[in-house]
Amino acid sequence: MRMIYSELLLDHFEHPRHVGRLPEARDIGTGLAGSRESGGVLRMQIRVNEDNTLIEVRFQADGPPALIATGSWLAEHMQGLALETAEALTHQPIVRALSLPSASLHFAMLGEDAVRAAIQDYKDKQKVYA
Amino acid sequence: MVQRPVYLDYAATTPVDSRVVEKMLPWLSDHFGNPASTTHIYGWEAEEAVENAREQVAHLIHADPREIVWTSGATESNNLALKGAAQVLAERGRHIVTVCTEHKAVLDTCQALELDGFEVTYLPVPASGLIDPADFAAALRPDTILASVMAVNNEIGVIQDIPALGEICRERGVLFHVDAAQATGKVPVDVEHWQVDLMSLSAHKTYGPKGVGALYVRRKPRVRLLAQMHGGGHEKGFRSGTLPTHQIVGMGEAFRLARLEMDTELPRIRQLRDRLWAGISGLEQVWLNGDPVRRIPHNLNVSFGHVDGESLMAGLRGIAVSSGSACTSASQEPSYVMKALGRSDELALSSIRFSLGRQTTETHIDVAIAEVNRVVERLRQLSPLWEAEV
Repeated sequence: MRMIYSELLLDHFEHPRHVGRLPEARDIGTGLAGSRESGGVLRMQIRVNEDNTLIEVRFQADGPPALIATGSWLAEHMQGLALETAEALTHQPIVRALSLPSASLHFAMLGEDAVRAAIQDYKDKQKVYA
Repeated sequence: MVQRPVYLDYAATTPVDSRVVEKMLPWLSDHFGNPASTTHIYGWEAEEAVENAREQVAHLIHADPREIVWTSGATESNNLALKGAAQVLAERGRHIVTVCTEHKAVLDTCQALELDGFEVTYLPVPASGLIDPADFAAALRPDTILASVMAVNNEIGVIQDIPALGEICRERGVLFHVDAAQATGKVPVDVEHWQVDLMSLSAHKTYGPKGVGALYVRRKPRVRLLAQMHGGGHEKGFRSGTLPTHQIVGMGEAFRLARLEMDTELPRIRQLRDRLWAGISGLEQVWLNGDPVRRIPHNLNVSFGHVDGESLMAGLRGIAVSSGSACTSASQEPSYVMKALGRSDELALSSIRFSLGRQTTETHIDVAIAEVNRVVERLRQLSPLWEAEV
């Protein structure tokens, strides 16, 4: 079967945005989702300022084009969002934006999981440092 | 037009050589006769062309032209050989031996025979992909009637020790079928030396047209087959159906060229293959699949550790290659050949088959090297796990 990717998915796959790692710090939250055995791993990182705005988002992904594009799309989309808006993100807008087929739904869900985990990590750090 | 990727998938199919096309064309229009028409010149000249092609095909594999039966391709040849022989020999025994890395045209035919009450042993292979003749001999039983082993594997290009297996079969009175679709023009094929009884051949893997093939059927000692296609009794009753003269002429010319040019072609391909391997084996975690020595130079099958197979294929847009994954509707399934070699799902899925051919140039190889290095490095740099591991 021929793999069909949407134009936007391919664009994110070929030219991923905001790739990389942020250093561990109080204002940074890191979330990891998935495993290689289950098809892919996504790492999302957010830097949050005093106004609760995501001023920096980074991602790394190891998996199929759908996962790489999910990470890249999320990183681009979340940059500048309010923390509570980011918290409300689900996999649905990812699926819509990248026109993911149902077989790739799993990867959009990993995106949602990684974002949640990054936000939780950030919040946990605020409690520790509070 | 967008520039097309560099073709490195000659094991899937080859272009028809322009010299072959030239020979074929007159048989489509000017000389359109039915080779079975015995009453006029239209038929006579077509028959002569068919017999000339039969000689060319026989010549390449050291057979007698009378031992060549035209078919629609290697899949049909495999079906005719295995079903046709098993049905004739069923009274003597019902056990068949083959190898788990055979082409689906053999494996699925064997499965169909199992439904008809035959018992099939699918021999496992070690990581090299090569069966040990001793293991093969041990699998033969008193009720074994037939064995089928491919000469050259389509995915990994390894060359089985057919002469040794042929000798064992001859000693034990077991009919020996060889699928040689990937072997013609790449290794010297000799049905006498190999002691083969039945051999499947394909035109389109050897710069001939698609839709035509042949089955070698030994005359001495005579191999009996039950026809699978009934009709006008063409091909001595082995395979009915009007012969496609143009296709057959094409196969004959393609096999003639293969015989004449193999000696000069092999070292050239080998050099290109070595260049490709040198250019990609510098990457970390690169594994060659199949025996490094007993393989045709046209095939380089490589797995890339820590790279997602689907992303690898999606990234390699400048080259046309095959991957070790069969894409099903829901997920990527690793190739059964890779699994048989003992590769993990991950390494099976990230395997790439580069297959080189007559039109492959150094420039093509350099494009492939650059593409592979670029994509593998890029995907690994994207990975959150890669840094942690190296």
